[in-house]
Amino acid sequence: MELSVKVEEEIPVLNITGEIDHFVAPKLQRQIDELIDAGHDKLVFDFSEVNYLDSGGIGVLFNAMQQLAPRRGRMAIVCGDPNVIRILELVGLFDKRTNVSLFGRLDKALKTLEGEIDVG
Amino acid sequence: MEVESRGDNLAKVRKFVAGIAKDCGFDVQVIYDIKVAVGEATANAVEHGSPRGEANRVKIACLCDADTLMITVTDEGVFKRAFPSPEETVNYRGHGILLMLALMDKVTIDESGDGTTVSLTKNFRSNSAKATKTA
Repeated sequence: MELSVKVEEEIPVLNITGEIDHFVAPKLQRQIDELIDAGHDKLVFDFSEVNYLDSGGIGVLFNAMQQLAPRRGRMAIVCGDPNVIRILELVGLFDKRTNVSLFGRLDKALKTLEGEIDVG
Repeated sequence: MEVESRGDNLAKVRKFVAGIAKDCGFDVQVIYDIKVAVGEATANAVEHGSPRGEANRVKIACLCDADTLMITVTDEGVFKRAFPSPEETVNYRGHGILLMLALMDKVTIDESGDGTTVSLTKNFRSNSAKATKTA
């Protein structure tokens, strides 16, 4: 797994390529923790180049979600791989009550998150 | 195949079973599901079934017959059976089991030996049934 971060209009975009499993998940977790500790409460995960994801990665995403929830944070996942999407949907990551949304394109994800107004 | 109980061997195991699943004729989606299910069982074996850490080994065996592909993942520890706590249900452990059950047709956990064997079975029938499903 390769991981890089770019901040676009104050929103960090975590670009991940390759496979996210239990072995590499802690690296992703550490990066997320750093960003949240730095005060970010909106995160975009660019999974366009991710070709494998299991509960290792899912655990990290749910941890992030839990950390962001009290701050009314938001998470966007950009992904087009039907297999990866199927797994994320299976575990309920995009259910109504989560703060996580799926997008097919990075620009749409950023536009949506930027446009959302935090009420209180 | 047999590997040392280490996280960096997870990818090797996934590649191995994906090759077998492909040879069995499963389609791409099903191969992915099998990879994930085996990936979960193997991660569990490495993280919870290896009391001596890297000194332990994890064995993967694949058995193919006319109707099914069965993959067994055997470790040298005891499967973590405790009921998940509320915080655990939202971490990787709970999701791992959920995924194994959702993605495979049959899952059994056998602790009667010196270690734990998780058996994951996929039916060929469900694979072809997908192809003939109509709206």
